[in-house]
Amino acid sequence: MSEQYTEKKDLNAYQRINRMTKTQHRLFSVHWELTYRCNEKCTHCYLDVMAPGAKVPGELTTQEAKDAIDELAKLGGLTITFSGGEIFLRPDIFEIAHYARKRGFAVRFFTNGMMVKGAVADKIAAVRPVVVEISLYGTTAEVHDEITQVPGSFDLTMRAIHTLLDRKVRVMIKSPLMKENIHQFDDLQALARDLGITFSFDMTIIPKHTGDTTPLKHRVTDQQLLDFLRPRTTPETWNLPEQDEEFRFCGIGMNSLSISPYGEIYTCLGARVSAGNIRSMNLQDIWTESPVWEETTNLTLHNLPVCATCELSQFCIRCHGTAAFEDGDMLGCSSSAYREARIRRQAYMENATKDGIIPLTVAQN
Amino acid sequence: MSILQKYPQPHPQTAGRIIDGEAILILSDVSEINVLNEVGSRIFELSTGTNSTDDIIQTLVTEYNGDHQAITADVTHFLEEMVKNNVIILSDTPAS
Repeated sequence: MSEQYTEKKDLNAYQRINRMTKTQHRLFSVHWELTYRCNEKCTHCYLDVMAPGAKVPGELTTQEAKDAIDELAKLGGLTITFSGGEIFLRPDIFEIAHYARKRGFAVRFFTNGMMVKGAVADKIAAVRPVVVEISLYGTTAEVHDEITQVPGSFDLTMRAIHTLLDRKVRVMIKSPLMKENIHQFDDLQALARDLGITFSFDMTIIPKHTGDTTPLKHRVTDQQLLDFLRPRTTPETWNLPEQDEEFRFCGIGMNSLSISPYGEIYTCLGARVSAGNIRSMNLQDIWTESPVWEETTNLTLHNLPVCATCELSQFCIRCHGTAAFEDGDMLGCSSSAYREARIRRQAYMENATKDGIIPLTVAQN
Repeated sequence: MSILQKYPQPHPQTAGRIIDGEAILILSDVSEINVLNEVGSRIFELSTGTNSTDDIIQTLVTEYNGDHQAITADVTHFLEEMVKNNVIILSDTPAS
């Protein structure tokens, strides 16, 4: 690209603009759950998903989705992630995605890949998504299918990955790590490496939004977590964040929003604090007038009284929504994040002590 | 047909938004992010498929009160680079 007209360090420029949109509460990214219907029944899923063929009259129509995209574009949004449920169960997914592309959005798809073959893969490629993120829970059918509760799903998901790669579509494998699959972490990583694609993992397992805590039994045990973190949490790999009063654990409410299949606008998927519904208000008003944005962007360390004095805060990857769902107080301690932080600090300290390096801030606690 | 008569518009891989006068572009095929400066952003903003290159040049000459010949050279060079990098495509007819 002509250097005369571009900044030399474009990634820095992107980060600068991203930061600016956060501080000015300007829309940048959108996460959109288009349906809660799904063709898998994953044991850990936080959604109360419905059968693939369920009649769901409340889902946004194609036209409502397009109108919302127009409003999102007016607000300045740049990226949209289409998620589910399983998005390819919506027959209008490609019409919606192409419309978003036409309106200048970069598009990302989240899918389990079960329906991605031949013609569907061609249609995905035609959208030119930035990436297709595919949930893969293991490197064997035995592990993957036990989690999805759909025999044969591993083969279909692997087929999807290869089919998309054949079409030069960028694919990412993502794996929530649980009791049942953490032993295959290295294999998952190796699989992604062999395929030349990105791998991402997450250990966050949260209750269903109905309040059902069944998914929590799939969380890794303390010992599994310690064994996992021990080689990965060292003074070299874990940068202790500087936490002043304005420190934020996440960017909730700042430059992004989430949309439910029924038009509810949330600050984020984790917290699901509703700002309004696009069927009863226009998006501009929801984005500028709902008080929830200010309430959530105020969630700095200063306004989290428990975290502000917690000795584990530099090791904590806290989700305000999980604190609310699981422990009943968005401003209080997240017991699951606390557990992880405690074990992460243990792993860190073991490594730091071994190397003779104990950062002052940790040593003081 | 000269580039001046063609109609620039975003390449199918390009997603873009103008934020405070800066065009931020995401190129999905190559997974690249580019940010254009003020003039580049304005050219991209005008590259809707409905303005010809000549229209874009006229607009910039007016907005920047600049020299027509110099702006023509700059804009055509810039668009050629954008085409080479699959950021922009040039059509013979205006987009509907």
